[in-house]
Amino acid sequence: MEDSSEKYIQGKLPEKEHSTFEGKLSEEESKEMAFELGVKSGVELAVKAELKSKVAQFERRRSSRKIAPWQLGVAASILLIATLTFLLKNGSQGLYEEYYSPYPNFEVTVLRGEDEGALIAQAYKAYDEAKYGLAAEKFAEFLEQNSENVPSRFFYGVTLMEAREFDAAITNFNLVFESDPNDYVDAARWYAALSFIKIGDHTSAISLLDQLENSDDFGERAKKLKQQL
Amino acid sequence: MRISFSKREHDLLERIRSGDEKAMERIYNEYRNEFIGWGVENHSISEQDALDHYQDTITIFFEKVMNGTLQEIESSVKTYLFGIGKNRILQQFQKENTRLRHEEGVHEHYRFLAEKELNDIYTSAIEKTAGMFSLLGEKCKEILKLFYFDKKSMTEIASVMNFKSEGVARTSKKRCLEKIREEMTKERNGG
Repeated sequence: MEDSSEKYIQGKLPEKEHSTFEGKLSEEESKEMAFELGVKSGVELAVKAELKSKVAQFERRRSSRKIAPWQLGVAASILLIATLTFLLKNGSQGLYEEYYSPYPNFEVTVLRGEDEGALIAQAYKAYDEAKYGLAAEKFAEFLEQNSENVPSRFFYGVTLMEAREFDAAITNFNLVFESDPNDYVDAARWYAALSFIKIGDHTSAISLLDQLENSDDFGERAKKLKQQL
Repeated sequence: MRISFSKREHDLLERIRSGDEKAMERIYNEYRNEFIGWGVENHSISEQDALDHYQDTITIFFEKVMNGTLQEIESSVKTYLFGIGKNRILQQFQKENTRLRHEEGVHEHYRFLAEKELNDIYTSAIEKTAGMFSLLGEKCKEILKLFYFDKKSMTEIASVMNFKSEGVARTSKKRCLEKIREEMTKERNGG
């Protein structure tokens, strides 16, 4: 039965055997099956969201690499300054690019037929579509009336990082820590640490990374990043 | 005549299947400009819309390669990508919701979910799992991904994750499911 259940959930049980299998399920087993199928769909959606976020990252890297011919002189100067900065800061700026990717949104899914016009729905929709400038505007507007909303505060912080406004991002992540406990404390510490790296404040970054040492989701990354700093 | 992937493309697909980010980025960059130009010229859409379609198309492509749905196709990667892209543009696929489409597909396959109580459990489990997946811890994420997304057997999961037996893999998966169930119960009880 265990093996058949696994095959059924994974879609490996032949279609013609479905009704026989379903007919044998007790009421409790049917509920268990519904639960696991939901978990399966949830995992598939989460993995897909991670893939989509990765694809958006590829696009951002392209944009950051694109230089027009007339900009070459300027680029050379920037490169010189960047090299000096890199040497002065022990190469840690590259770490930001290595470790940063926008946090996937599982907070709000806008379903067809639902109120897509709601401000918060527009904010998350723009975020999902990697339109971070628009998302930042919508989150800011929403937070004016809902300043205690922790998830929006957190995602607003990430959109500010996308806009390279790292000080403002840190201010928003701080507000997320201050509302501890909540689901975004560890994520906010991680993104704040990356923001501090970007502005060259390693002491604050290390302090935050230390606090993440026992985090299930960020612990390993935090230890690795700290060693590289 | 059956045209299969060239060896180079075949190797790239293998690398994507194993999660190699450089190979994914290479494919992304290889077809991006051509796809956007094709979308703008042949389907009269804006450059931004064409880019959105491309990103969705390539995400679907990576997903299918990684979960094993796409192992062999009778065309090149380019033909396949442009095929998905064309369908998306024609159907204005991007305006529909990913999750809704996903659920419709599942309901078609598992008809017993039509019963309201079971459908409620199913929907609630989706929301909870998608919402807490990134917070589940690396081990749980890996087991659940291997089982539900990669469709690996318990024996394969035991081997990949260095468990002593498939029994240990099964128990570990159950523990991960319990974490999600506990969160669902908490939510139902208003905690």
